Amino acid sequence: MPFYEDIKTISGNLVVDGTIEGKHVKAETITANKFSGAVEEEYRAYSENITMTSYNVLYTLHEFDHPATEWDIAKGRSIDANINYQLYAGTTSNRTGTIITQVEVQVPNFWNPNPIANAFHYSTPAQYWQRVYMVGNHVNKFPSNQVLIDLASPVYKSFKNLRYQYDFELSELVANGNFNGTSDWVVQDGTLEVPYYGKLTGISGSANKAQISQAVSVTAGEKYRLVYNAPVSSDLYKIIVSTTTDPADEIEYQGGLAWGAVIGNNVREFIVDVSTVYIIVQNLNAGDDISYFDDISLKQLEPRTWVDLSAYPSNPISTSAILFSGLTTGATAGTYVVAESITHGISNNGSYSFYTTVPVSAYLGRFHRDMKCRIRAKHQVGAAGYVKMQQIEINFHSRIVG
Amino acid sequence: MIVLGYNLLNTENEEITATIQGEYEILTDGQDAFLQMIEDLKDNENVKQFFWGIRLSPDEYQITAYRDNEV
Repeated sequence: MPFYEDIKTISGNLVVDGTIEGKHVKAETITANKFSGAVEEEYRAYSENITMTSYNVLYTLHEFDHPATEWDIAKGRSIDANINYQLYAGTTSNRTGTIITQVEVQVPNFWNPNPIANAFHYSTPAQYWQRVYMVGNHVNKFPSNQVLIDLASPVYKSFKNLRYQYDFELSELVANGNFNGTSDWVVQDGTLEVPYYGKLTGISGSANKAQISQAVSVTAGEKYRLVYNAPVSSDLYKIIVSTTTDPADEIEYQGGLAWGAVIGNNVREFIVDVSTVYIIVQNLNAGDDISYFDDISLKQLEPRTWVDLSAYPSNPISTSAILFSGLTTGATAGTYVVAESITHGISNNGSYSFYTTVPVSAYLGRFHRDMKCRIRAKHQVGAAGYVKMQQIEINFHSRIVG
Repeated sequence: MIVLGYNLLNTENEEITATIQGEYEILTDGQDAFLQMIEDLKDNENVKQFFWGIRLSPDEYQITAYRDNEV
């Protein structure tokens, strides 16, 4: 059994009248929602009664500043608004069209693009789109609108299909896990055969349980997925992830890495703290017990951020490149960038007036500085009396996002 | 590919139409052209906004930023 020590725990409150210092703060141990004060900031703005008479002309509904974060901590910045619109048709005849609402931010005089992560080419999912990935979770560093590639020769690109995946499977680590033969497995106290799957028979009268094992190189601190199959029946064998060929040396992770097998596929995920593990299949009982098993697989799980980049006229990334926030889209200082745009259908439905609420939200990425913002709208409703913004309620947030 | 242009008001039918001024591969070329376009057209009362965008395909572009004409 490997040596381990319980982490010392303080029950109750710890009050420090001074500064907490340490050589290291372990990742994932301090979460933002455990703080108070400067961690999450929330502000608001409100306005009402802007009448939009002209067709397809942008009207400013409200202007406001998104304040710099407390202590200048880089935080994820967002704007969420709900807008009540009135379509005044002035007739019961049909008046139908759209309202386009935009969240805009002004490009400041000085702007240092914030790095997101190193991105690697993966595929071309559609014409003029390139799929890339980054190792780790970086979704909170992407603004709603664009990314920037290559500071030396800057290119701004739109994107879509941004998502995080915790479990991209890397290559197979177990050799001969489907038992096409008996190679690669070390047999103890029994006989390994491969009729259609693995079959392990113990020795009659033996006090030991038969087992097979295989050493696999792994990386400490990484997450792995173990898949194993019981093709005939449940509860014939145990599978153990150990630091030696001895099942007693199973790795201590969330209660230990030893499990039974139910018929069909079994899936387990765990983090290792060593560089070599032994995958052990052990019969449930000593003596001439028989077990059946198949398709034993161990793969490292890599957390990935996926995104598709606009790729006209060609892929912007050949092999790999660092992505930066492209919030400004490259526009010159003073220009208002459309961070988000929502198109909303509207019709009077036979009434003189029709009312609707439109939500719009934009994520600006992770930074700390003051930003001038505005929300604008235009209507494309032909022959309408007017479209009126009755109320606009705007909430903006700054929150530590890792 | 950077796409530059402006929204022009047609005074006869009061409609706004988007006019593309030019397209540029190099960012700084696009920024210079954008500022030059503003300088050239800033006194035209019918130019309501200048826009900045990106080409997504030979047939499609996306406006990503606006500068109002302060005439």
